[in-house]
Amino acid sequence: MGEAVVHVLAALAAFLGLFVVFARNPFTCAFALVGLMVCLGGIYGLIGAHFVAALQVIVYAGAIMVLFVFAIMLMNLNEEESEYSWGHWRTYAALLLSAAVFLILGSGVNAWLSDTRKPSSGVWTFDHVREVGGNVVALSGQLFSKDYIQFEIISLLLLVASVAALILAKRKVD
Amino acid sequence: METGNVLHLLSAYLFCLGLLALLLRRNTLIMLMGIELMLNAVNLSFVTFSRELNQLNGQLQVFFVITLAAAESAIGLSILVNIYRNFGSIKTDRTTSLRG
Amino acid sequence: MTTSTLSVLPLWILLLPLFGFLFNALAYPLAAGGTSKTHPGVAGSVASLFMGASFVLALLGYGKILGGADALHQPLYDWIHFGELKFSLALHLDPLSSMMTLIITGIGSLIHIYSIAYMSHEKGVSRFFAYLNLFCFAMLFLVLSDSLLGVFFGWEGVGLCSYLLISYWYSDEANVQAARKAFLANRVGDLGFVLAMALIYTQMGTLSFAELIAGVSGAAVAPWLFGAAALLFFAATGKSAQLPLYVWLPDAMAGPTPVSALIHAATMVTAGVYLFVRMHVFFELAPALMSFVAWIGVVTALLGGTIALVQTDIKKLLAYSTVSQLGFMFIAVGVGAYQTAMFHLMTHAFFKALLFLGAGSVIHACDGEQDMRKMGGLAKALPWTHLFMLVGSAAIAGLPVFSGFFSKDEILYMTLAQGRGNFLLFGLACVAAFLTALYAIRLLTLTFWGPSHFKGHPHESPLLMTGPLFVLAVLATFGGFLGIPHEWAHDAHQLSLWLSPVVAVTGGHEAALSEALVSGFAVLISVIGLGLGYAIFRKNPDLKVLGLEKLWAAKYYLDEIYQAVLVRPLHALGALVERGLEQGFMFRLGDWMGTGVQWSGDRLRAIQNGDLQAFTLLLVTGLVLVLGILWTWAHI
Repeated sequence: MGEAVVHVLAALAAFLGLFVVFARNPFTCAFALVGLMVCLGGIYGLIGAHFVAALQVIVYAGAIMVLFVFAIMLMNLNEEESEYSWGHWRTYAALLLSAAVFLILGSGVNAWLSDTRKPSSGVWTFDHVREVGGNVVALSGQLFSKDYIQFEIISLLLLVASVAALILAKRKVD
Repeated sequence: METGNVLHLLSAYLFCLGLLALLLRRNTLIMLMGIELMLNAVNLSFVTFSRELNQLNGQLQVFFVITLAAAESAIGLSILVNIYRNFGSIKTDRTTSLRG
Repeated sequence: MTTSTLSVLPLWILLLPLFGFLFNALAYPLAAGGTSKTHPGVAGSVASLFMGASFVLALLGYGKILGGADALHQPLYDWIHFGELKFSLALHLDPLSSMMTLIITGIGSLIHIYSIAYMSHEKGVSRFFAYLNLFCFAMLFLVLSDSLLGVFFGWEGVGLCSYLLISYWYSDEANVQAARKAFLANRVGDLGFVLAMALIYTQMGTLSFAELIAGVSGAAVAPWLFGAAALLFFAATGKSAQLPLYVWLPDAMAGPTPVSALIHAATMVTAGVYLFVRMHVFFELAPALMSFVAWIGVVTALLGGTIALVQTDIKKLLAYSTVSQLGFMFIAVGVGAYQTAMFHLMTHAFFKALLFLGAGSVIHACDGEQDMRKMGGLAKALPWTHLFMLVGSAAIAGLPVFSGFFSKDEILYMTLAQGRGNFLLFGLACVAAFLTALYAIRLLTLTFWGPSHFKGHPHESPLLMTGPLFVLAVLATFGGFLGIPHEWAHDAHQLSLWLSPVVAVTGGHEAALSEALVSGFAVLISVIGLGLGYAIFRKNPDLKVLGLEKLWAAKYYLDEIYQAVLVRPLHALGALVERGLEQGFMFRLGDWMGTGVQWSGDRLRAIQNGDLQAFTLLLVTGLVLVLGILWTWAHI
């Protein structure tokens, strides 16, 4: 059953992605993106990455996208003038370039799938993760031992970013 | 089709959609959304690889990427607020003072 | 004293002058608030103290070798280690370098002390003492190093210090020109050194003396070996002022007199002789070249001697005398009498330093006057200086008992006793010796005797200057007894015994004349030269010999020939390049580039339209292109 749901969610995400790109109203875009992120969260949960699934829904779909919606409302952006138009050469150039990137990425995916010399499999099989107490326990074990320094550095980054956002959002720095 | 393949393809597809949003849209806010979309696509790729290779590193990386995305959108949006204050708009065809 | 402290002895001999340099170049000017505020007493005392300490250590090293140690070898570190290329720096104190070390630090200390008084009227003397100490460091590095590369480092170092000291009074353009000439002439010679090192390294794979000598011993004579030896000889002609590169040495007298005494008489200019002695096993494999060296030596000796006869500047006279005496050393080296060359190197260091410092004392007394025609009759006013100059002149002329007598007679004798010597060489060397006596007496007559032409009131120099002169006079008098000929007393030639571990005495065959006879002949020549010279120069300072004096005064037109053959064509070439290449092409190229950039910029600014969308489009286009190229690359 899980596999089928993953496929459905993937199709839904692909569909919502089109709205993000082509919808004229910024609200539509934002909510399509929220939906897309929730879909991805569902996929993560279904393929065993529970912690990432939770993060995806709480941080992305919850916090970040709420920020976006607030920004839209703050700037009164629900007007639709001067958007992309189908009559402009730039639109086709953008489509062409994206298609090229897709081809290149697709060829990479194809190379990976057809490669017979894949790196040896790690120890964190589904069963092993269950043995140690689940995905969250396993991840936090790694995060607070092996990756601890990165964890601290990224916390510094967040601090710097919040200070920067504060300074930028102030009308005048006195 | 196998789930892994579907997810890889979805990742590539979402990445290109994000790129397209960046290239196509004149609304800076939606360009930022495009960037978020590309980051999501990369995350999906990480998690899928993590699943295929039975490793946790991919998921750990996603943790860091999400943190980065939060910082990026916070700063990006504050820059947008400033642009809006200065130009009265955040459309790219209005904010063209950086030209030769 | 433990072995561990002794093994670092060579390093400390070397480092003390370097510390002196650092003190006078950095610490003292910083503390005093600028070089111009430094006091000659402080700078000079500290510099002398470091040199003196280095001399004490050199004595300790000497004692250690005297006590039976073969040599003190001290590896420092691997300087260059790059794949198969490996050069290690190591210090090697053996009898030969010990002797050189004693000369450098001993005479160096005396000259440092002398300079305190000599330079006392100058401003900012810490710069002078810093250079002097740096020079001693480089020179010690040259003689203590155990490989050609280390010698080259010292070789360049002394060249640099020589340049800096010649142009010490840099506000006068003539001094700067002289320094530049010295530097360039040396550089021409150094090119030979570099090429020789490259050649030797490609053939032997090493530059260490011990390995080189072990490698070539008994080897068949190869053409490359002859080439390397010739290149090294060319390098030596630059540093040791032999034909054809001697032209810089007389001009180098533009520096302060102590510099002339230390660098351009006693130590640096003997580096070439030292190099030959150090690598004599190597050079002996090219006998034809060595004969040539002897001939160059004798021609240089004659050339220097004749030009010295007509000089009016007291220091220039001594400079040409140095060229001539170095010629004598090269005669000794050329015929294969290496211990004799070292012997003359030592006695020459004593009496020429004495003469230069004495001349400095005279110049000091006459308020900077250097023209001998304006002196005269100074014997009364400068009794001590007069006495010491007498001793120095007696030594250089080769009167019995004085040091020059022993060493010069030995060279004359060796031109007959050694296999490569012959009567013609001997005869020409005798003429050079005669010239030596002639210009020595000329110096004395014009300066100290004869009618006085000096307007001011000359005063005897202070004790700080006469003291070192006294020590040098004692050395110049008795230094020769280190080399009493074998014929007179068995095993009394202390110097060749001392050097025997490094330089095997090559006695060769029996000479046609006995050494006593040669000595007698040489003394006779000197006495005739002195007497004749006194008779001529008492009345008339200018010499007239068949019009040759014009040729001599013009220095055989060598400077003019170099000017015409080398300098002018190079200038012409430079002018041609300047007009044709630089103004015709390079300048215009700059203009073209400017207009080109402007033109294309005018057109390309259309891209820079300030539209974020356009920028991202371009950016992604670039990305796709790069990825596309990579993809194609990976799939071909």
